Amino acid sequence: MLTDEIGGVEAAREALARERLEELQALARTYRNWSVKELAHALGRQPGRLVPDSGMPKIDLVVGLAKALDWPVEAVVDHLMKPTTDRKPAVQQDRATDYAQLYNESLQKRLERDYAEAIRLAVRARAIADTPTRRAAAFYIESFAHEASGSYVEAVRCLREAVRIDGVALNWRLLCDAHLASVLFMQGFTTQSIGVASSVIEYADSVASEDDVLELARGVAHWAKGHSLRTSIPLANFEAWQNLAQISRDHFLRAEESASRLATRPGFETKNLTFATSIDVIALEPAAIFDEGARERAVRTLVEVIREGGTSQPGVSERKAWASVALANTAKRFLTDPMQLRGVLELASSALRAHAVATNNWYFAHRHLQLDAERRRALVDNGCASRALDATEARLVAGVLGQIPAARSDSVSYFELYAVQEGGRS
Amino acid sequence: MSTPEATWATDAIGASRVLRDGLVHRTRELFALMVTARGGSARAASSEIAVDPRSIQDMRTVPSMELVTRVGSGLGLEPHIAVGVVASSPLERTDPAEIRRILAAADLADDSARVAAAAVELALAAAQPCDLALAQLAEARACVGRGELDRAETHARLAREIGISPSDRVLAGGLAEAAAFDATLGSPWIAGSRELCALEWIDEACRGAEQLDEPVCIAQRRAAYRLARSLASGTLAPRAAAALVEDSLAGPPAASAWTASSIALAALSLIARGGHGHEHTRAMTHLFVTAQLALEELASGLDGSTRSTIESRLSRMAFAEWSLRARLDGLTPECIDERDAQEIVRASMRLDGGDPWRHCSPGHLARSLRSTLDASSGDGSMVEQVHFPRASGARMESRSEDPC
Repeated sequence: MLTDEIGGVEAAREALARERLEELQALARTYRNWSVKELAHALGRQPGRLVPDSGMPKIDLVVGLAKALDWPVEAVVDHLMKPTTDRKPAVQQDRATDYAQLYNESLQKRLERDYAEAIRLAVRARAIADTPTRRAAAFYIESFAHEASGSYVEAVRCLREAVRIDGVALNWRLLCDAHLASVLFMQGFTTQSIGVASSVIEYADSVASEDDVLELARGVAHWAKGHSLRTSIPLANFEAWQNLAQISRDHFLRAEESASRLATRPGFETKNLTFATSIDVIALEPAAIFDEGARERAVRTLVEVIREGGTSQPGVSERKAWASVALANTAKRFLTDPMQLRGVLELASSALRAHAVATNNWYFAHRHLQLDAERRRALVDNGCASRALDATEARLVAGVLGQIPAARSDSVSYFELYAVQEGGRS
Repeated sequence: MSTPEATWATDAIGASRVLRDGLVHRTRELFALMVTARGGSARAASSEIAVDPRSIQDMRTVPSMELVTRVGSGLGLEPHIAVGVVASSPLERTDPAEIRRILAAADLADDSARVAAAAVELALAAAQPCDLALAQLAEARACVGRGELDRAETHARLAREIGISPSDRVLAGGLAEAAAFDATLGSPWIAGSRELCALEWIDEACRGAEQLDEPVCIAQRRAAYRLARSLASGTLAPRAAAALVEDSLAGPPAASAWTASSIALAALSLIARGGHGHEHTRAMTHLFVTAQLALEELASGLDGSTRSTIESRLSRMAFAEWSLRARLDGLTPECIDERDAQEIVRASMRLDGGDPWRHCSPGHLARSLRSTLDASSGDGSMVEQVHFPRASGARMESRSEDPC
């Protein structure tokens, strides 16, 4: 009977969930050296009711367990909900000789914005990779596809897996590290990003031989470090940061040098180096901090870049988005006329939103939401009702909270500003 | 007047009410966001994710994980991310001064996970370049704990280049001193442990702070490190070191923890380096065991943060001991019982800075250890590779390669 089968599946699922919860509770007791009673006390439950029959705990128990384990809440949920591993692997039809084809097809699918297929192909390539470098390279292209699809969490996971592999060739290991630094920056982990990027730069500069992958790693590492230093500089009281602003700008210039060298080589056209199209505009932000004479020019140039026509070429939309980031920060630091500042921020916010919506780039979406939140608060302070959230913005809020951990501590203020305005209508 | 227990219970109930209200509130708001993202009709959106909208609107108790993950799925969020959003606390962001206090406490508790978390928070809240420098130094301390010495050196050099504020000298000196000690003697599982120039430099530069208003515990830890270094350099005999360990137990428990554990770790480092005679190894082993037993006894009579510090130090010692046994003795399945496995799990969880995906459960680990040993040649190298992987970091080939 079908109902019996469904009941059986449900019972098995509940049994697995209970087993997982018991495992984590045992681990927490081991970690803390606690008795069952102590664990129950810490989790706010009676000792006999630590595991619900369904295996699906209430959220407060998950939070308590995460605290007891010193794990992020996400890791506890991941363990409780991950699929069972005793499934038989799918029949493997690929051979080691198919690696290059799968690898290149994955890259092509990413360019065509078919990210799900790009990821599937990268996973298949990894499954047949017969050297450590091939495995790392497959993780790298998988992370690239995850990042492009807006899943930074998965992108970081892939890169961390890649850098843990023993025996990877130096150029690919450094490239994976450099991209890790870049994604960590996008997620708001600037301390780690600076450290990882610095290691790559030091190592790459100490190597006598040169090749394109190494050059790319060096360029991406300079790009990530320049950004991480740039975003560390506060918008107010930045005088003490002039030295770091100069260092940040220098890293952008070195990223530009690497990109220029690569641009002359086959296989490294604009499609692979979209970041290269944005270096000159983002470098204007730190330059304005340490060079008083560059400030007015920076604002003017950035406004012009955002207003330029055309967004279809690779890199143009991204260039406008980076220009918007630089413009918003520079304007907040130096513009004194409130009307002019408001106009400039509106322009930046719109450009960021356009790029974020088109590409699922949560870094830019985060910047847009920050500007939008400031604008909404200002409207409310002036006694005006702010516009209700639309469906697109709701997805941006969800994407930012999901993919940028640093934004989660602001979730309450985002919800206050947005979620309650339209939601809940029946 | 209420008793401390009653106050604690009241606080706990209050905290749990705040937690519950926050979880309910954020689940409702995540639902509202989902409704907006899906066109604005709560009924239609609820139907698509198979949730009764009344269960959200009339929610009185904490939602289940399943409900939150369903709401998150309506926004395209994976289960762990949806729960992470609902569970995130708005009170986490603190000012740099408060983060410094948290960092100092984590350093003195030898808590790598909290040190690393404080480094992230400090960088996010940085108001001055010195905040960033301190964050880099804290990250260096956390990296040493994980055996990532090259990266630790990079972070320390960045801290030095950005510049440590004179007002941070005590905290920075403590972090650099602890990291420098761990890079040489405090983490015997690290292959190629060595002095890290930038850390030593910061340590030296901050030494003037000894004359300032330095907390007693920092001075006690420095004294412990000096004794351990004396043992390592041969100016302190093992027998005299054992006597010092026993004498230290009469003093403040935190100071005892640092003295006994630092000497024990130095002893194990000397065994790990090899090149000494059988008698010397026996004396060092005896010293280690003496310190371990003394600390276990000390911990059993304590509570609170001091106990936590002692347990951290005991975990570090256990991690060091098991990695050395795996390397030198060639472990066999019979060597590892459930209790040993639990000790290894506890130690590696503390020292990995809370990398959770590596561990499953003590039972699983014990089984994993056994199967690993069965599959290996019996020299223990596989155990080391599987269970102490962060200690050395992934090896990199020195040549370039084209995967295609």
